[in-house]
Amino acid sequence: MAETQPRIVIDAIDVHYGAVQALFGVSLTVGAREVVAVLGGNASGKSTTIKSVLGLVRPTKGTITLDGAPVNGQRPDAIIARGVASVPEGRRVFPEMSVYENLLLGAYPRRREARELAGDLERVYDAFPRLKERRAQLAGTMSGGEQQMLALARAWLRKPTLVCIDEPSMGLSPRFVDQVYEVLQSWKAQGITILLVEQNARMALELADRAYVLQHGRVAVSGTARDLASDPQVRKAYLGAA
Amino acid sequence: MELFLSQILNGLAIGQVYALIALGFSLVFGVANIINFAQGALFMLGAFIAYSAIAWFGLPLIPAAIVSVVIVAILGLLLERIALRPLMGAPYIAPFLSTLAISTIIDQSAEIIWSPESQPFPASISSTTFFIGNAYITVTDLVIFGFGAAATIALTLFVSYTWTGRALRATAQDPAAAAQLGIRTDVMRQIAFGLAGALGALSGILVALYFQSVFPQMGIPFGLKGFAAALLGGLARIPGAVVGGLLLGIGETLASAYVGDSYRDAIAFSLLLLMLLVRPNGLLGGGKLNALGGSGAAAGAMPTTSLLASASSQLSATRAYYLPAWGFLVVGAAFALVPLLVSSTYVLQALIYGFIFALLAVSVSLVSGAAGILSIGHAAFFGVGAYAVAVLARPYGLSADVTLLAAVVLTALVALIAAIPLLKLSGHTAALGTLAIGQIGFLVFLNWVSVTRGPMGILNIPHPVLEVLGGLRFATTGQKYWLVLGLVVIAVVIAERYVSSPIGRTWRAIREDRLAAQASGLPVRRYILLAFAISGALAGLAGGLFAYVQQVVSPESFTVETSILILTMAVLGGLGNLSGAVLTGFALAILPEFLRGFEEWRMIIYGLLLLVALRVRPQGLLGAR
Ligand SMILES: Nc1ncnc2c1ncn2[C@@H]1O[C@H](COP(=O)(O)OP(=O)(O)OP(=O)(O)O)[C@@H](O)[C@H]1O
Ligand SMILES: [Mg+2]
Repeated sequence: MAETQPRIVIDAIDVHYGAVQALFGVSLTVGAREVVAVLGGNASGKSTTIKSVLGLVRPTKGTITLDGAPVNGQRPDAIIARGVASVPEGRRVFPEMSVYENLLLGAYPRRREARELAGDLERVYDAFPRLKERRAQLAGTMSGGEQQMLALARAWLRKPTLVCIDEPSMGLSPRFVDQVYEVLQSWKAQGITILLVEQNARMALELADRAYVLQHGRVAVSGTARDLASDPQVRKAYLGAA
Repeated sequence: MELFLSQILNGLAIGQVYALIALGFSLVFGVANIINFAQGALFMLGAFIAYSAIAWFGLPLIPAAIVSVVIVAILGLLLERIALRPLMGAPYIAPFLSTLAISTIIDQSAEIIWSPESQPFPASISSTTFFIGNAYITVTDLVIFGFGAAATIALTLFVSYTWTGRALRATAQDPAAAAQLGIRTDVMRQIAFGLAGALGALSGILVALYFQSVFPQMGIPFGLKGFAAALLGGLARIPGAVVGGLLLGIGETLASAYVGDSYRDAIAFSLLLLMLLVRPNGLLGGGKLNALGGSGAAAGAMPTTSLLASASSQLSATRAYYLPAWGFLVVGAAFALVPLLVSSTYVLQALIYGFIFALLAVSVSLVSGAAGILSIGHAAFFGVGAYAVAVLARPYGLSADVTLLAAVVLTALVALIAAIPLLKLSGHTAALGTLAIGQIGFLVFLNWVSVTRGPMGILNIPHPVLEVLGGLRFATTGQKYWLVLGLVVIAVVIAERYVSSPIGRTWRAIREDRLAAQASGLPVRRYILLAFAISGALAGLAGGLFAYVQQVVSPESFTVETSILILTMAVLGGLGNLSGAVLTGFALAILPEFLRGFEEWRMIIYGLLLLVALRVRPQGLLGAR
């Protein structure tokens, strides 16, 4: 039963920013332990979709369900409290805090589990030796790639069962993009459900089980990652094929 | 030398208290991105609640202090809830004005509850004196310093090593990211306000112990000093606030020892202006505040210097209703008929004050609305005009043409010079700079006895005589009515022509986005100075006319209250909308005539009006332009 119930169901939502409408009846499902990618060009509404799930924006129409319970109008902290972690667009590490403190803040919802936290922190340091080396450094002085790793590690310390990730490869060199996707691959192997927003369709489709393509705030195409990767239209628009 | 050392020790004690007030500003500024004008009011309440607990309920000092700190911390929470939370997504000035309104209401309520007089603080710490070498320090100083330092250290530990403290800092650095980690940013804001209340109360009690007296008007000067200390330290960090507080404490104690105690505050505020001029980012601050929108308008979320734009894109554009310049001539002509129909000097007198305040509101609306620098100091310009006329007309017996012209020119000049320290600032910071200007003006009127006759004021100012009109003398109230009306109409028409001209458009461009204006090559500084000069000229004329109408000029007409009142008028009318300013300035000035017997409620009513207006019609009655 638990295996069959989807984690996220977005049902025909509209989102407005003032007079501007960003999403038009977008529907999307993320099954348990599934990796779902949302692709699309700039301003197609990818980030808005993820923000709706996190409770950062409120749909004006439609419903969002998390593990079978509606979350419409709930505050972000209530949604995060249900085992969700977020890796925001542009990493958004706290620039004036040390790497260590940034990591700790990822575990904010688990702040009462002091003992396990110490162990998990060690494990993060093992997985990201670079962060261990730099733990006293101010996060704002780290390189973009390092900051992305920090944002990923920060989300992992939440011990999430579901992670929402917005464009983790933005502005990174190919080597760092590979590293990011190695981390995501390992999360997938751990059974973490992932909702991934990406412009880098090639990488995303390699990782994802299924994908949706947004265009002007509407779902234009959706299907399994394999099908989309071979879909001529998607290939032309997002994979740079002739 | 001994005196010097003793003053330094003494200054460290009071400086530690300023540091606490400064920390209240810094916390709220960091977490909620606004400058909490009511910090001074919380400070004053802290002192008075402790006072009452001791004097009325017979509590010893320590329990009284604890009660006071707890109550004021709760009031801090309420302040956030009532004055700020409903304004999420409102224009950028709204939260600041909202705390200003609350502060006005609290200050005036305190005058009603505890009487406006200064009262001796009913508790003291032993006045035993210690000698360190030849320098001396009292036990009171030591205790104050100790408590202040302990509170600072406790706060530092709290924000550095607790989960709540980390969450507070995270919210300060990036509220959106903090929310995505599951931090309740709204609760963090409340905690910041609660802590600011507690710090305010504690510092209020320490100040009461230090000066051994409490008075309801203590909030604004001490709040301003706390702000100065915070700014001195860069506005964002704890060590900065402490260093700023200590420096300010030492500076002003030395000044009061060597220059004279009555100049203590004037020197503290001048120091603030000097700081704004040379190091607007604070002594310790790097470029951080610059990144926060021109020396601290507010944090990164504020892309423009606009006072009227809002963080949410949901605010729909609003219409502004205003008269063309000639429209004021028509209205003026209609009002000119009044003395023919009404002979009551009482009514005419009330209308005259209405005209004068309409002009003052126009003056503030021009600089705040059009050029985008919120002024809480216009009473100083008003006062300069009034004193110019009083001095020239009384001791020198000059005619009104000369005195009024002198008032206009002198005030324009004063406003121009006063604006120089403000040029690098925008938003809330600039507003507090103008507050310092207003305070300095008031202190000069009060203390420069050889010219202003101090608190006594200048009496028996003769009736105005205009040489240009062949020595025409305006002796009766009806005659003065025409003089005031005529000059006010001319001034407003000129002001409106400026605001509607390309110069006005440039002012608004600067207000909306100063960086963009600068980038497109506009001489921004020159335009802001021009706005201040014109605004000063208008306020100076209003002051000059006021002197002739009152026939008495004394400092109490030019307090912060007056400044706040004029700003309220300008905001309620719609910033930058001179027709609105005329309307609300006139209406609010004659409003007290309907409140006979309730004079002490006047400022409370204005405060409430402002508070309500910010919620239901933040763009003002006739719409901001
Ligand atoms: N806070 C906001 N206020 C107003 N409009 C917004 C806001 N956030 C997003 N939008 C608008 O909504 C639309 C969708 O934005 P969104 O951020 O979801 O796009 P995106 O697909 O994530 O683009 P990108 O790939 O560039 O990140 C855009 O037109 C954008 O301008
Ligand atoms: Mg995006």
